[in-house]
Amino acid sequence: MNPELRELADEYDRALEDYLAGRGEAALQEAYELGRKTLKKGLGMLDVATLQQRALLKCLVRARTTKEGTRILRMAQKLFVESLLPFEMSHRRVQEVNTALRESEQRYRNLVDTARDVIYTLSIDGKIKSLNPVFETITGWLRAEWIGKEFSPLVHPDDLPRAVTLLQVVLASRVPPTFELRIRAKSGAYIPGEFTATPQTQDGRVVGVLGVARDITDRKRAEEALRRLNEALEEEVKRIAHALHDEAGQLLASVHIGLADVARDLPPHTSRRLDDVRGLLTKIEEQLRHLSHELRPTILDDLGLQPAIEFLADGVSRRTGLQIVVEGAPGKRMPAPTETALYRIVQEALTNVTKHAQASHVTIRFVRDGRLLRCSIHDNGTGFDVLAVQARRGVRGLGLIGIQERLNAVGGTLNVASAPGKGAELIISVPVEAGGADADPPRR
Amino acid sequence: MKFALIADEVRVSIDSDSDIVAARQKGRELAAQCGFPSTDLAVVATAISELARNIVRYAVRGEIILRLIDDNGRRGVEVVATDDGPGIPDVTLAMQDGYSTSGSLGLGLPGVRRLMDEFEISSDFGKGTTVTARKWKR
Ligand SMILES: Nc1ncnc2c1ncn2[C@@H]1O[C@H](COP(=O)(O)OP(=O)(O)OP(=O)(O)O)[C@@H](O)[C@H]1O
Ligand SMILES: Nc1ncnc2c1ncn2[C@@H]1O[C@H](COP(=O)(O)OP(=O)(O)O)[C@@H](O)[C@H]1O
Ligand SMILES: [Mg+2]
Ligand SMILES: [Mg+2]
Repeated sequence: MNPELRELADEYDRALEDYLAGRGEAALQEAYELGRKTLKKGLGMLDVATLQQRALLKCLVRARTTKEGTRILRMAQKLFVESLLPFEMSHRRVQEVNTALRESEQRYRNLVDTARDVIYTLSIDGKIKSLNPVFETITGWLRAEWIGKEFSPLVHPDDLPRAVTLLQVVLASRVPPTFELRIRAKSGAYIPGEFTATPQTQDGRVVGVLGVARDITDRKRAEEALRRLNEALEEEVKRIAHALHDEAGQLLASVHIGLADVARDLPPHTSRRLDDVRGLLTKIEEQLRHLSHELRPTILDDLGLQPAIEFLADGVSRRTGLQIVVEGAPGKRMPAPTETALYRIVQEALTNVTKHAQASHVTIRFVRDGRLLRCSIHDNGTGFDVLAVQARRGVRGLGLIGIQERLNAVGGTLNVASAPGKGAELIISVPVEAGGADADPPRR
Repeated sequence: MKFALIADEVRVSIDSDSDIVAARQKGRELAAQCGFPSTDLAVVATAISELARNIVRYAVRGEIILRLIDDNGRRGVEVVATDDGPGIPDVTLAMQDGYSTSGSLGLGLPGVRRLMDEFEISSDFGKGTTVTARKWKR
């Protein structure tokens, strides 16, 4: 018997002696405190049983009559119960914890089994540890075909290096932002998936990866459809712009020539009245040309975003009387989709200002900040309740949504700052290549 | 909740370890009167022990009130431990397993809650603590 238990054994003997000697409740309390002490020392119920057995034997050998023996037995039993009660308390705690754990596990199971996203776990060597049922629905594979196997054959070969890097990131105990991977279905087709991955830890060590994967086929399809629609629209706009510029423009030019002809044959005072008409005609020609350039500004392709925006601002200003100032510079030329997106966004923003704002002044400001280009369109008009407009599902206009969609396509973000009476400011940020703020030569 | 009293309540003032023994004794007697099985007598005594030793340790003095109660024919023992001590700043925390401000096991309060059938605690920080626990006859 170790010294620790030895000391407790002496105490137990004393408690039993006290109890047999008629010290009643005080002795029971002693036994109870003894049980607590045993528990605190990290000893177990079996140790208490040992203590009780030894103490009891010692007392029993002294018993001279059966009656006395019976009394000793009965009292020792009561004392024993007291010394076990602290263990009962701690045992009930374990029971309660276990029940809670079972319930929480059951809830977790239900969640995992009915989830519409794939929930997966990986071991540190990249083997699949678990998959939930929806994996089978989405990919057509049986879970049993993959559990225990390497995850890599499931990933599109082009995406695999990225997947491996991300696994390393997570195993280094970091949480990467959501990422996209294409997953090979049983049919051989690839399914686009959006993934999260977080480290699973045990005692502070990373033991695997837990993640969620969402089938984003529908979203990809919608994005693709939107992209094509935008492209088709650009084509259509180009066609209309050309028709306005070339066909209508040429017709008007012929009218000019015709009028000049007629003017030659007329007496001077009549011909002067015709000059007024020709003046009007020139204005129409100019407006048509301007409009066609705004619709599909070749200036955007030829000279870049800033001249195109200035041209647009000038046109809007002349049509509406709105004072428009362009400040700062967008800097280096950007990929065509980004420039087109920014141009269309500013165009829609200016349309909104003329339609809704009753403003007198607009500032368009470009700020190049490392890998971000920020563009703000700020008016001094009526302003609006941004949250209310954004909550207006269904009946809301397409302008702001269109701006958002165009930005999604080029990885940009939109912030709207406005309040009734305070004017409105759209702040657009798009990622661009790092580089100087000076404009490049035209793209050809 | 108020229950019918079967007999006069018993009050034991607590301000030392020997008072704890006295309170246990009274509680055990009362529960025995009610016909509790012997292991449940030990349970009631344990609850009294834990609540009384908390009074001695944290509030210095207080009182244990013991009542035999009746709820439509169901009989039981009610243990009330009350003191005008410092009170408990965060009762939820104090009810958690292993939480102790004295480096002890933090077994007492949650243990009593689990051993007894009903448990209520109210504490006004700076004004004192009252714990009420009931055990019904099985
Ligand atoms: N009557 C009281 N007055 C003031 N504080 C109290 C009182 N009773 C309990 N407490 C506080 O609540 C905490 C938890 O009490 P509990 O009885 O669960 O554990 P403990 O007394 O610290 O440890 P153990 O009971 O295992 O010896 C105590 O550490 C103490 O801070
Ligand atoms: N610059 C602005 N000033 C005041 N209100 C605006 C401005 N821009 C947008 N709004 C408000 O936001 C709403 C949504 O704009 P938008 O999505 O472009 O749709 P639409 O212009 O087709 O109504 C507008 O109907 C208007 O109430
Ligand atoms: Mg609009
Ligand atoms: Mg305690």
